Amino acid sequence: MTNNSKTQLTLPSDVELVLVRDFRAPRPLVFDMWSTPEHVARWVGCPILKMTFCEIDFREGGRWRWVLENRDDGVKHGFSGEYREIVRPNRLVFTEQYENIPGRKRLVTHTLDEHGGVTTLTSRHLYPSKEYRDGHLKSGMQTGLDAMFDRLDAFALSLAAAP
Amino acid sequence: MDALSLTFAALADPTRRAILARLALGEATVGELAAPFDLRLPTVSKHLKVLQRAGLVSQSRKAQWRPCQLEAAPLKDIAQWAEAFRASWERQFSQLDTYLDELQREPVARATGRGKRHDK
Repeated sequence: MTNNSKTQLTLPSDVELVLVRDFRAPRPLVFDMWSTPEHVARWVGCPILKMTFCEIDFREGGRWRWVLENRDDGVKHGFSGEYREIVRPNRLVFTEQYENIPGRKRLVTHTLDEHGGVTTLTSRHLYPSKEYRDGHLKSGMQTGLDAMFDRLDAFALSLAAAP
Repeated sequence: MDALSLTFAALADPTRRAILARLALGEATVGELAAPFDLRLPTVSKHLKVLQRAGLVSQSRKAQWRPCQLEAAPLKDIAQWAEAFRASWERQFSQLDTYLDELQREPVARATGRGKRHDK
């Protein structure tokens, strides 16, 4: 199930990045994965970056905040923002601020399409500058991703086996 | 600016990307590069300077006409950089996949048992 080429990344302009991913689940269910802390905590994070806080006020104008803590170095990574548009099940727009670097706010637009039981998520990230967009891309290199890779399979198994 | 930022800055311009695409087919002189773009030579030289600073293009010193060549190494850096970012999302989304599978196997226990639903 977990081959590594299911998520497509494109850079349609200097200040955007777009992720596209299919899920074998109905659109409302995929949409709801962002709507409550109970769901979010089940799939965001990894054994090293553990979610330690998640608050969601899921309404337009409502705020959200997630904190991921690095178990290796203890550093907390806070993310927060505001919901701009909530159109269940096809569109979700929110701002996202990486709290450790003030001013780094971007706009995330999730669009969901369903065809034959497969829901396609298009996640468009709009940045205030090219420097920030590139910096975010680069951050993927800096978070011990290889270690996360190694532990993912065990984690996925434990999730699947959960009662 | 670090090397990757230089590469990104160099790639930000469509003319420079077109020049790189041309050089991917083989070396070319400044004049040959200018022709298809309908650009003046000084303009092409300006673009080439940016590409050279980013290490994407080298210019031979030997021949009198000094042909330009593509240097692919910085492009590979960017590809790896974007790939690491993509892979981190793939990891996150495959966790979501696993969770969605689980929810659909036990829809009553998981999907409605916990957490507030916001549909009316």
